[in-house]
Amino acid sequence: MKFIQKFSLIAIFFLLSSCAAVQPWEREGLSDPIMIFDENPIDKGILEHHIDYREGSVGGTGAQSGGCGCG
Amino acid sequence: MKKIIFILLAVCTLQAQEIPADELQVNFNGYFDTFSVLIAYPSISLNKQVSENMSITGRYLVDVISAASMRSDFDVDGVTSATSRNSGGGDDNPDEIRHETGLGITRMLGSGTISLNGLYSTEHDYNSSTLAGNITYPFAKKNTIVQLGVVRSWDKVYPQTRDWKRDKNVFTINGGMTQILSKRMLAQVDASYSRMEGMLSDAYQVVSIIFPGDGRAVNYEPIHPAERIRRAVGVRLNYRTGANSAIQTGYRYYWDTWDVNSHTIQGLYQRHFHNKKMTLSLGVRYYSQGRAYFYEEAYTSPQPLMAVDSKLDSGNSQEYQFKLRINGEMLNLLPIFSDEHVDFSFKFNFYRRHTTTVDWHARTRDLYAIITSFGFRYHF
Repeated sequence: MKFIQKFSLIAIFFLLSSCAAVQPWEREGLSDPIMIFDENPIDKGILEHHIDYREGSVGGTGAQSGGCGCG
Repeated sequence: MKKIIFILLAVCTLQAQEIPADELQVNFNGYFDTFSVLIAYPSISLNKQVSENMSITGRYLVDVISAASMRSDFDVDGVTSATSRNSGGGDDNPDEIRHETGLGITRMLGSGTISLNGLYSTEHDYNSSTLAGNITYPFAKKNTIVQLGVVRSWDKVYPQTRDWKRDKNVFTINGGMTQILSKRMLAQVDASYSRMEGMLSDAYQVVSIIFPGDGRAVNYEPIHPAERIRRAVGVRLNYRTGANSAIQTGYRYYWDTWDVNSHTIQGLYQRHFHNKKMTLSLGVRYYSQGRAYFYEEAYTSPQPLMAVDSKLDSGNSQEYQFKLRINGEMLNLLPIFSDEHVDFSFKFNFYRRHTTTVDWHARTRDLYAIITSFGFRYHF
C-alpha cells in the first residue's frame, strides 16, 4: 500500500505541476523522436514479450499485451 | 508451448494524440538462448490513413521455432525423466510455426484518440483471440495526456501430449498519464491491473517427484492456482540532455496474488548524429523478483499446488540494448536504399537471467540470450 500511496503522490505532483504549462511554441525539443516514450511500438512489443516469457512480471510500462502461451 | 511467442497490440504511445502516420514497417527478428531455443520471427505492419481523422493498421507475424527449443540439453539425473514424452515434457515435433494477424483502427476523438485492435494467433497446440481498446486525451493545453486501455483475451490450450482442451482468459485494464514537466523533461506514470483465470500452467512442464523411501521418480502435471491477479505501477522520466541527446530512466514495481513481486530499473541513452540522420540508442535494464508461494526447488510428495516454471522462482536479470537507426538518405552509395523516407534499424540485445534454483529442464541457474533485429520503416 505504501507504493500505491507514493505513486498517487507522484501523480498528483504531475497534475499540479501542469499549472506551469509549457507553451506549444516551447515544445520543439520535446517533439523530437528521442523524447517520445516507446516511439516505435513494434520494437517495444518485441522486447516486452520476450521478457514476459522469461520473467514473472507484466504491466506498468505503458504497453498493452494480449493473451498468449507464455503467461 | 515451450517457446517464445509474443503478441503485441497497438502499444499506446502516451504522447501521441494524433492518428498514426502512413508507414510500412518490416522487421526480421531473431532470438537465441543457452536453453537451446532458437526463433526467427519476421513481421510486417502497415498503417494507412483512410480519412482526415481515421487510420487503420494491419499486421502479420510468423514465428519459426527450432526443434531444438523442444529438446533442451540437460544433464542426466533423476529429474530427466521429466522430459519423457509419455509423461509430458517437450515434444519431438520438428519446427513449429505460429501465425499472428492483427487489425486495428484509430480515430480522432476531439483532441484525443480512440483505438480498437483485434488480434488472432494460432499454432498447433494453442490459439488466442484478443480485443483491445484504448483512449488518450490531452488536458492543460496538452501538457498532460491521460490514457486508459482495456485488453481482453480468450485463449485455447490443447497440448499434443494431452487429450483435453482448456481455456485461459485474461482481462487487463491500464491507465497512464504523461506530463510535460519543462521544456526539456517529460514524465509518465502508468498502472495496470490484470486478472488471469483458467489454464495458467504450461502443460508441457513436469513436476518430477523422487520419493525419499524407495527412490521412485513419478511425474506429475504442475498445478497452479486457477486465478492470478497481477498489478504493476511504473514511472518514467525522459530528459533532454542536449540538442541531440536524451536520457530516459524508469522504475516499475509489480506484485500479484501468487506472492511474486519485483523491482525493475532501466535507463536509455539516445543520441542523434549527422543532422539527425542517424540515432544511436544504448539501454540497460535490471530486474529482480521474489518467488511464488507454492514454488519449491523439489517436492518430496504431491502437493495441492506445484510448479517448476523458472518464471515463478526468485532471481534477477540484466539486459543490455544497442540500437542504430540510419536514414536512407545517408546510404547514397547504395542507390536502391537511398531514400529519405526510409529508416533502417539494427538492434542487438544481450539478456542474462539468474534464478535461485536450477531450471527444471535446462538444469542450470543461468540463461543467456541474444535478441537481434534488422528492419526498415518506410514513411509514404
